[in-house]
This record gives sequence, C-alpha cells and structure tokens, in this order.
Amino acid sequence: MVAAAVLVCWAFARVGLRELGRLRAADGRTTLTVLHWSGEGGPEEDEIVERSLRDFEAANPGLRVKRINPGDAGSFYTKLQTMMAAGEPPDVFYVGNERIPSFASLGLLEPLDRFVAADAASGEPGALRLEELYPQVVDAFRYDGSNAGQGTLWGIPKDFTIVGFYYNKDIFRQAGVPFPAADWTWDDFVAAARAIHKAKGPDGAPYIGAEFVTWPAMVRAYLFTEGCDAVGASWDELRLSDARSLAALDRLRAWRHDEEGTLTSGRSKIATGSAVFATGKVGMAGPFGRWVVPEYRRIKDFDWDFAPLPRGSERANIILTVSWSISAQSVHKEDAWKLVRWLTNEEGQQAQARLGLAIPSNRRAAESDAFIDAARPANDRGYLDAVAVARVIDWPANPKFEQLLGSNLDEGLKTGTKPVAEAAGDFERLWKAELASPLGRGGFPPVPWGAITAGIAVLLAIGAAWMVRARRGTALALQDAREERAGYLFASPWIVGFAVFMAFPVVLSLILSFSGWRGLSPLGEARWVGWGNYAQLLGEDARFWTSVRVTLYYVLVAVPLGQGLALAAAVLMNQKVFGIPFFRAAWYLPSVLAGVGVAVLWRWVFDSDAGLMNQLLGPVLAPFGLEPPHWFGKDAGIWGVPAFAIMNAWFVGGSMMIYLAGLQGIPDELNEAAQVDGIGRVRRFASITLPMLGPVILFNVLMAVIGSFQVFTQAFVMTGGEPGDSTRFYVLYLFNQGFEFYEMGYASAMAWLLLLAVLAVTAVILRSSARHIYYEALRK
Amino acid sequence: MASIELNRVSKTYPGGVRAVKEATLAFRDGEFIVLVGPSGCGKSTLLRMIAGLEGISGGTVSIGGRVVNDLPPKDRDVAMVFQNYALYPHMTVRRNMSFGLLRRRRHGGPVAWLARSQARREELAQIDRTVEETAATLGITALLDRLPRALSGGQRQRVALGRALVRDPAVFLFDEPLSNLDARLRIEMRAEIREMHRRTKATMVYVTHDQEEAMTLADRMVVMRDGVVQQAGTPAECYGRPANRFVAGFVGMPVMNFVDATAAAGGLVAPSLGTGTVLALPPGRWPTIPAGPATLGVRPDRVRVSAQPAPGALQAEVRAIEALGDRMDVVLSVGSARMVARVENDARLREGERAWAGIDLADAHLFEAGGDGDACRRIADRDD
Amino acid sequence: MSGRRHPILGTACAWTLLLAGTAVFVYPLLWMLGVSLSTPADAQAATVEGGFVWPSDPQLGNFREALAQIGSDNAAEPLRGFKDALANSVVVAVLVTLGTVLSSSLVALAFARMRFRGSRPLFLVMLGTMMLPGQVTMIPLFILFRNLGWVDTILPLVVPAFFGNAYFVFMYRQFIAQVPEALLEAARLDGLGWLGIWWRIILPLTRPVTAITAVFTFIGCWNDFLAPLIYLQSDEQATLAVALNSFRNQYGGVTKVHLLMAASIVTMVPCILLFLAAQKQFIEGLGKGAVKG
Repeated sequence: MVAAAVLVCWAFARVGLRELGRLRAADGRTTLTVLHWSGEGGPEEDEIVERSLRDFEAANPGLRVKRINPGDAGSFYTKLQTMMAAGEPPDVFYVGNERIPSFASLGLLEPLDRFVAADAASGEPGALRLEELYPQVVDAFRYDGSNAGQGTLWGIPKDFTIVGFYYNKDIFRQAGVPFPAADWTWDDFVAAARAIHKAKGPDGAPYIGAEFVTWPAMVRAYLFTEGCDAVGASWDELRLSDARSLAALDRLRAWRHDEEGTLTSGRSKIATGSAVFATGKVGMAGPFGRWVVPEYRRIKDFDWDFAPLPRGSERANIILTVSWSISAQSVHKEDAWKLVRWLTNEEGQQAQARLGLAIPSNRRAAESDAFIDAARPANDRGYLDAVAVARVIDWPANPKFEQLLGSNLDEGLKTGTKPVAEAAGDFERLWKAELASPLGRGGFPPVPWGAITAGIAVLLAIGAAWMVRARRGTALALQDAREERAGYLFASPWIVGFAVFMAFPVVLSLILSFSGWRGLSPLGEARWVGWGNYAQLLGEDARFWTSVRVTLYYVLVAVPLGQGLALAAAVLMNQKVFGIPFFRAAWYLPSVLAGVGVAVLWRWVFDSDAGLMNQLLGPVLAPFGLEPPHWFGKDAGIWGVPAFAIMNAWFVGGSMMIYLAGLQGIPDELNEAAQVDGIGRVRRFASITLPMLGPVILFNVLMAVIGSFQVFTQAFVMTGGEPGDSTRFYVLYLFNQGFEFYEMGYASAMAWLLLLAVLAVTAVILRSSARHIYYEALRK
Repeated sequence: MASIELNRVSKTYPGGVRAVKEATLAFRDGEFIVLVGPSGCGKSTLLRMIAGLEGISGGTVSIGGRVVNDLPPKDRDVAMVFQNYALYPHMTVRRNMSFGLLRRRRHGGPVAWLARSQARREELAQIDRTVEETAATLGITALLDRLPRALSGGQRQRVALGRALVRDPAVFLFDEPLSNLDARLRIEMRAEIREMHRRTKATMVYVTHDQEEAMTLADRMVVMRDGVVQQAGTPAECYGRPANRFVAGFVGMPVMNFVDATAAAGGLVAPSLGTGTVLALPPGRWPTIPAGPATLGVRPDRVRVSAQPAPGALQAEVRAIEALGDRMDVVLSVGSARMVARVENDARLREGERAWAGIDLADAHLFEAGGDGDACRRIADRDD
Repeated sequence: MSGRRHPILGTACAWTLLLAGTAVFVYPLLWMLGVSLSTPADAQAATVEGGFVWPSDPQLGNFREALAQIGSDNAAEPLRGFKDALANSVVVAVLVTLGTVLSSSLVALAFARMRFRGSRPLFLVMLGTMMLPGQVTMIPLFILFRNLGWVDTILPLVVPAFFGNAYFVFMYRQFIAQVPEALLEAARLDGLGWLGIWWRIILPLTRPVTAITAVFTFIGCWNDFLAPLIYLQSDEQATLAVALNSFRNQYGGVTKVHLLMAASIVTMVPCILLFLAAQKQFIEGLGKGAVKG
C-alpha cells in the first residue's frame, strides 16, 4: 500500500513538473511539429531522426522542433488523421507513396515545386538538388490528379526500396542449387524451391522452398513481371481478369496450394513472412524490400543474401518509398521546407543507410560505402541495379481499391476459398460498384448547420416549456422540496455529463450519419446526402453485410459459450473445497489483462501450425483422421470467429464472479427444503437454482450480447479483419471506414445502425424474459 | 422548556393516503408520553413528524413553544432511539455515541484541526468525558471500543440509548425500541428507560404497538387508530374510562368481552348470551340510558366461572382453557357469544364441559351501537 | 450443496476440474513469461514453430532492454521513455478512478435515496446509456474536444470521469438501497446534511462497491489504447498502453517478441497487484448484492 502511495506521488510530481516546464518553455521561437513512425527501424531509426532534428535546431537557432512518433505506421496514420481533424496538423510528416494520391486529392499536402525551383535557382549551400535523387523515386511522389508518377511534386523521398527475395545460402549449398543470378526467372525460382524441399534440415524435417507473401503491392509486382497488372490505363479499366493475369495468379496459387512444401501456406500474422526466414527453415523469403535487413543482420545461424525479383516475360520491379511532406495547412511553410531538405540531405541519408534499413534516395549516398558496405547483404549493388527496371506502384485516390484488392486476393491465393478467377471477378465487380456508387458521385449540397442548430434549439425550448408546465401544480412540503433540490444537485454531475458527453454527441452523430464528410476537412465542408449513407450500406455494400454476418455468428457462439462456462465455473467455485480463494483468483486473473501483448499471445495460441490450440488438438483428432482447423488461415471462414469466441472465454472471470455472487445470494433453506423432500441434485439445480438466478443471468446475458456486438480491439490487433473479411467484425469495419478511409459520415451511419440493432435486441430479450423471470420490485 | 404542542397536525402522502388526520395534542415538559395503536395507525408517522424526519402536510408542531415545522431535525433539539438501533456499523461504540456531539462542536473543521487550539482540545476532552459517564450509567463501559456487529441485541439497544442520552436533548423520541428484543430483556430495558426518565426528567415520546408496554411506561398514553387520535389520557383513564370501543378493546389483556344487547328499562336484553337473557344493570350506574341497541363491555376478570350452577349465572360451555400458572383464562361459549374469563385455578373446569358464567356488571361499560363498531363511543356513566 | 454421499470423491472431482481449469487459464501467461525470458532466436522460434520450452537460461536482461526501448530520448535519462509513460499512465488512471468513484457514488445516492420528480425516467435513461456503443459518440466527442482546445492534454481522458459512470452508479445504487433508512435518519438527527451522509456514512459502508469500481476503472483506464492515441499528441505524454505499440512494426507484425512480452508483463503487473490487493473487498461487494438484477 505504501509503495503504491509513493508511486502515485512520484507520478504526479513528474507529470506536474513536466507540464509546468512545458508552459514555461513556450517561448517566442517558431515551433515546427514533425510526425513520423519508426516501425521496423525501431529505436535506431527513432534515434537518427531525433539526432537529425537536434542538429537542425542547433543550426537554426530561431526554430524549435517538436517530434511525435506514435510507433508503427498504423498508429501513425490514425494520429495524423486526428491531428488533421483537430485543425493542428504536423508541419512535416512521413507519407508513404501509396497514400500520395488520396492525400493530395484531399488537399492535405503542400506542392513542393516552387521550393525546389527556388532552391535550384538560389544555389545556396543547403539547397536541395533534385537531380541528386533517383528520378524514379522522386516521380513516385508526383501526382497530377489522376495518375501517379507525373505532375505536381508532393513530397521529397527520404529513402526507398525495391523488392526481391532473400535466400539462405547454406540451404542452397546443401540442396545443390546455384545462387540466383541477376536475371533469374520464375522458373529458376520455383525449381530452386522444389529442390530445396527435397533437402532436409538438421532436425530431419524437409525445408520449405520459399515464403511468398501475397500483399497487394507484391502481387502487382509479380504481375508486372508477366507484363500485366490489375488495372489498365485508368482506374476503371480493370485487367485482373485478363487471361494473362489469371494465368499468372493461378500459377502462384498452384505453387502454394497444389504443391507440397514449395511455398509456405498462409502463415499466421504473428510471424510475418520475414520472421519465418530467420528460423532457417525456408530457402527463400519475399518479396520483401530492404526493411528486413536490420532484422536479418542479427541472424547468426546461417549466411544469406538478396536477389531482386525474378523475371517473367519481362524484368520488372516496384519502388516503395516514403517521403517527407509538408502540410497544406502549415503556417510555417518556408521553415518546414528548410527542415525537409535538412532531413533528406546527404549526411542524413548516409546515417539512415548505415542502418541498413532502406536505400538512400540520394544517389551519391546510395553509391557511397554508407550503403555499399561490408555488412550483409553482400549484394547491395543488386538493389541499385534493379532501380533501372523498377516503376512506382501507384494507387487511386480512393483507398478502398487496395483494401478490396487485398481481401479478394487473400481469398484466392492465401486461404484458397475461391478459385482465382472468381476472386478476380469479385474484386472487379466490387470496385466497379464502388466507382458507380451514389456516394461516389458527389455534387451534394452542404449540410445546413444553421437550420439544424435552430431546429434543435426550438425542440429544446418546447421540451423545457412542457416540463415547466408539468411541474406547476403539485407544491411540495418544505422538507420534500429540500430533498428534491438535493436530489437534483447530487444527480447533476451525471445529468450534465449525459447532456454534454452523450446526448450532444449522439445527436451530432445522427446528423453526421446523414452527411458525407471526409474527417480530414473542417466540419463546415460536410455535405448533406440524406439517406444516401444508409442506402449504400444496406443496399450496395456487400462488406457491410459480411460484417453483420461475422458479428452475428460471433454473438451466437460467444455468448452461450462464455455464459455457460461462466455459470459452470461459478457452480464449481461455490463448492466448499479447500483452496477455493486461490482458484478463484487464478480463474479471474486473465480478465484484468489486456493490451498488445495479450493479443499477440492469443494470435500465437491460434497459429495454424505452432499454436497451442492445434498442438493440443492435433494428437486428439489424429486418430479420427482429422486435422485441427487453420483458424486464421484457410479455414478462417468457418473457424475464425469461433477462435475469437474461445479467446473470449478466457476472460470469463468477470461473469463468473457475478454468477458466484448470485449463487451465494440464494438462501440455503431453499435447497435444504428440497433435499429434505428428496429431490435430486440436477433437478434441484434446474428447478431452484436456475430460476433464482434469473435476474443475474438476464443481466449477464444482456451485457454479454451488447458487448459482443462491439468486439473491436482484439480483432483489430490480432487479425485486422483478415484473412479476407472473415473476421471483419462490425465495429472493425466501422473503424476502417471512419479512420482509414476517413468516411466519417458513413461510419456514423454504421454506428447508428448498430445502436438501433442493440436497442432492438435488448427490447426483445427484456420482453421475453419478463415472462420467465421472478423479480422483486426495483425500488420501494 | 420542552413541552410539545401538536395543533391539527396532518400527514398526507402523495397519492392521497392520509396517515395522520388533524391530531391535536399537548405534552407537558417532562412527561412520558406513549403513542400506542395497531400497525398503520399513524403513531410512528406522528413521532417522525415531531422529529422532523417526515414532512408536515398540515398543522403545526411546536417544541418548547417554538414552531418547528420548518426546522431540520438537527435543529430541533431532539434525540431518537430507533427500532433497529441504527448504529453506524463502521464505527465503534464510543464513536457512535460521540458522533452527534462531534458534529455539533464549536471548534470543529479543518481550520481548527490545523490550528490545534486549546479550545478544541478542551472540547474534545469534554466530549470524551460525557461519553464515558453515559456509558458508565448504562453499564456499557466495557463495550466502548467494540463494533456494533460484535454486540448482542440488548447491548446494541443500550448503546442506542447512550447515543441519545449523550446529546442531552430537550425531547427523547423512541420508535418501538424494544420490539426486537426477547421478552425478558424487554422487561429489563423497560425498567432502564423508566429510570432514564426519572434521572433526566426530560420529555419523552415513546411509540409502541404493545399496550402493556404503554401502560407500564406512560405518564399519559395516546391511543391512535387509522391516523386519528382515539384517546389521550393516563393509563388508568384509558383503562377505566375508555373513550370508545376501540380503546376499550385495545387497552387491557385479555381483550374486553363485547356483547350485543338492547337497553331497556333497568336492564339489558342480551339474547346472544342465551335466549331470554336479561341482565340487571347496577342501579344508578347509568343515569340516563337511551333505549335501544347498545354494546356491553365486560373485562374478563369480571367474569366468574364455576363448574356448579350459581345464582344469576348463565349457562356456558368451556371451549378452551389457557393455564397461566397462577390463574387461568377460560374461553367460553355463552349462548352464541364467545367470552373470555380470567379466573383463579380451578381443576374442576374442563374443556368441552358445561359451566356457569357469572357476569359482574359493577365495572362494566356500555357502548353505543352502530356502523363502525370501533368508533362507538362509550355511554357516559356516573363516574365520568 | 451437500457432498454427503461421497465427500472424498466429490472433493477430488472438484479439485481435478479446478486444477485443469487453472492450467488452461494460467498456461498462456506462463508462455508469455517464458518468451519474455528467452533469447530473441528462441522467442521467434516459439512463435513460429511452437514447441515452447521454458528457457534454460533466463534472460532477465530482456526486461531492462524492453523498457529502454519505450519512447525516445533515452540517452538523456535512462529509461526516460518508460518513466514518462509510467507516470502518465499512473496519473491518468488515478485521476479517472478517483473521479469515477466520487461522482458515481454521489449520483447513486441521489437516485437511491432522494425523492425528486423525474428521478424514475432519468434512471431509466441512465440504464439505457449503458447500451450505447461507444463508437456512436467517438467522432463527435473528438470534435467537441477539439473545439474546446483540449486535444493534446489529458483533459478529454480525465474530465468525463467526474460526471458519473452509469454502470457504477447502478452498482452503487443497488448497494445504497440496502442501507437501512433508519441509519440515515439517525445521521440526520446527529446533524449531517446530505453531503455529510455521503462522505461519512455512505462511502464507508459501500467500500466493497468502491473496491469493484476502483479495480475495474483503474484496469480499464490503464489498458485503454484508443483514447490516449487519439487525444495525446506528444511522445512524452503517451501512456504505457500506447507506448507498447512501438514494438509493432510498419506492417503490423512483431519482430521482437521477447521484448514485447517483457514489456507487456511489466505493464500488467500493477493491474495484477491491484486486483490481488482488492480481492477480498471485491468478492464481498459482489456477494452483497451489488449486482442484483
């Protein structure tokens, strides 16, 4: 207890002093805000940026830099979006090239051409010389409103990578396969994989040929090497179902599913493809970029190297790159530009290069020994050579394209639930529907905020007047009047809280659900779409119905499972056996835990091959000739949701406690009387215990149902809704819409539908329970 | 001065239920008043209105000459002892008893605590002394540092008494404080309370449903029914000269016997006691009797029962005999009426056998007959 | 529940089930602990291939390394990121818990014991809000806080807690309703007003509910991830839950599992300790009908 008090005091002191320090430090200097992520680069990348910024501050005394690093890219984009929505965007921030079209279209970025031109003209020492950077990489950040690669420049690349395969030299030698040549082909690739599978590792198990990830960008790169692509010249010309594309995709699928051991088959998310390579059990892994190098440099057990993407009917590669960009709303654009060119200058690039993390965009830095170094991979040149045939992979402004492509490709290639032709066809159909959707058309009138506010004010006034009228009449005795005043006073925190934090947001959310509003723009630009959102959701959005199905499936599995288990556990805990308090605590403990770590834990539990579940189930099912399911792999459609339900059962401690309390509240006399009457145990439980528990069961079940409609965090962290959409719970989809596609109006409509569904279900449950439950009066 | 005046005091609950209807009473300083009546008669409500725990719908309540309608309970200088003791479960006995005093002290609050003034220390010491003295008086000194849940029912009630005593109020209020105790303890505590009254000489208003308790404790008792005061008088008055049938039937155990009869010249025709029964009334007892239906009330101790016929006795059958050790209550059927007689032990009387009942009308009462039996007033006799 | 027929068999049965269940519940945690003490290679192996084995050579250094990686600027002060995150988490969680307990008990007293017109409908509305999915209000609340200028402070996280939480108001109310009215009347005669009753009588008597409220609120706040992410901007303001995120890489996977597990365990420790400390009161509270329908 004392320790806790000390901790609390220390914490408050630390935070207090820090905040005071912040206030005092608000001096007259201009402050630039920088937002970036450090995911794969980890703390090393973080350090580099930090050092760079401090050097910048030293060199520019009038400027201060505030740096924000939310961790990984996912959190980064969420943070960026909220900062934009807050009207306080960062001045300078990372943008992945895939996002340039959508960001630029939203008007979030400042065009950089004039700065570049000014620098070129001025020739001052720190000026940016664009020609020093790889032109293809720079072009990745050009966008003219419909295509990437040309037009206005929106960012300066900080680094880039091309992709290829990393191969395990030791395994290659053992299998007698020659190392990949510079222009190796896909035939070489698959031959090597097959040969590798014939070799056995030290533990006697054969190696797997290769890990081949099927991310949309990588699949498109693969298609490029065969001269095709998902789209043609424009975004409504889809070529995924062309014969050549289908042939290529099918070949990949065959490697994966029809051949044993050539490719790994859809591994769990916990170990991304890159981690598999590090185990030394696969011959090759990819297509990956340079970002895995820091991790692979830590491998001690075997030697490895890099080979750029194999050739198909042509040599091709893709460029993945991240830029430093300037916010269009920044008020310090000139100073921001100074910062951008500082961060991308040669020294900074060399520092980054030494990390091994990426290829510097500055050519001299790339050719220097900061990049071409003695550390692995030996084939540093290979990266640079591939740049010549690499092209920028571009995406449309509408981020749904990548999502749809990804989820459908998953179903064709990863889980194998659909033949590729069907998956491709579905994707094309959905994308066309997206393009044609009424919401996509635009041209809506702005939301009439004035009229709405006036209308609400009138309603409130009427309500208030009606309440005043109803109260006039019954005068109260003084005592009672005093009590009433006290009642209102004491209840006021909740009343006020309700009005401000619930009623108001709910109403606003309702209005938003009738509007189309990209969350990044100010509220005033919201457009009125009437029933459009609802129509789209209910009529056209297949993924909406998928999410509904997934959620209902979950409710029907998780609630009975969880509550039944909780009740059984409570009955067990109610026995007067020695040591019960210990067991009670142990069973309850999991429910106080949460967080990323726990999510990763459970992801492992359900891993198809290595996970705890299947390691236990395997031996049990084997005698029947059955295999345990691939929970989040190819069987995700059926078993993905139950996996979540089983995980939910782990947290059953809370419900168990409540049932236990209920059981202990049943007077012993009832059971004793029944015992005297000679009624057996089971009958006693059914006829006495269960009915007496009625209200408790109702409460628990109701809360469980409502809670299961809102499953989000676990799904978000564990699967992200994948594979495909098999675990895309309703709220997860809502989150996607609101915080990844920035469709706030659409997301609000989804939220309202959820609310209505919850109310309906609650009403049904309460009504049907009224007949069966024995209630005591709620209050005197 | 701690007199209490109730002037047409009423309590009506929202929804229309009238718990107390226009009660007008005056209690003198130092009196021990008992409010008695069956459940729901309004006695507790009346008590709580005096305490300030219940709002007053109509009329005024005055304590010590001051109208207190609008005063909150803490300003009325009253202390209350509750049926369920209402001890603060999370405080020791000492703390329970000193709580009220602590809340009222002059040198309380954070400022004084910081200042640690001499006056504050003295005040606290005084409170401690008061608590210890009171505890000694009630014999609970050994319990001072225990929690209520470690005490027996009787001990808890003593603590509750102590809590009230310590406050030294003008008026003590008791809301059925002994109902939760067993019989023996109840009698013991009754004596303690009377002793308390003697010592403090304070005004005490005591509520109970037990008429025996009322009789033993009260200086004056107030009998209530359905929110209306039936009679306010000394126990002797209520017993000997009940205002109406209700009071007559409520006060005194066993309950008075009531017989429907018709008054005629000089006698009472009581066919229910047997066809043709006429009872001769003591001459001069009732100067004027209106002829017509009346109800006769006879206390059980005025009914004699013998196994042998006696002059003037009525034929009866013994229904049940309740032996009480030194006497018996005999339930008789006399004619079609049921009567109870309290007599000395008589082995010759046996259940189911015939007997003869003699009614002594010396102290009998006559009541009007009519609609609401309980409200029938007693017909005035020469003793009034 | 008698076990008179076969007391030993019954107990044995119960123990078997209890132990089996405990194994199921606790094993995953042991796995976490094991991974946190493994070398990086072993940790990766455990996640990719399974076959978890308790590390023969526990790497206690993992913990220090993991904590050192949290946040940034750790050169200036060792473990600075971790200390900042820890302090932030503590401050926010303590404030929120305090606010919830105080305001919920106040409001519950009003609904349980004070008669005022409209209390019934208001109470039903409050019950209704328990069913409101948080997502409905998420976006508008952000707009609200933005307009108040509270983004980049802990105010959006802390202030709403001081306005009562329907779930706990409900629990307190059930509990307070069981306090005998006579007790409050005695208090009133002793000179207490409503505030005094709340502070000196209700709060001490509802200690079990307070324990439940405090534990649930603290743990929920401690593990809350989304709200701090949205509302707290600077690095140094991040709470532990957000800081753990830095172990996830750009593509959502995890490379340093052993460090992540080590950091997660450290983050979980306060919750576990709090629960163990409050366990007794907790159970008592549930038993006393805090959650009767």
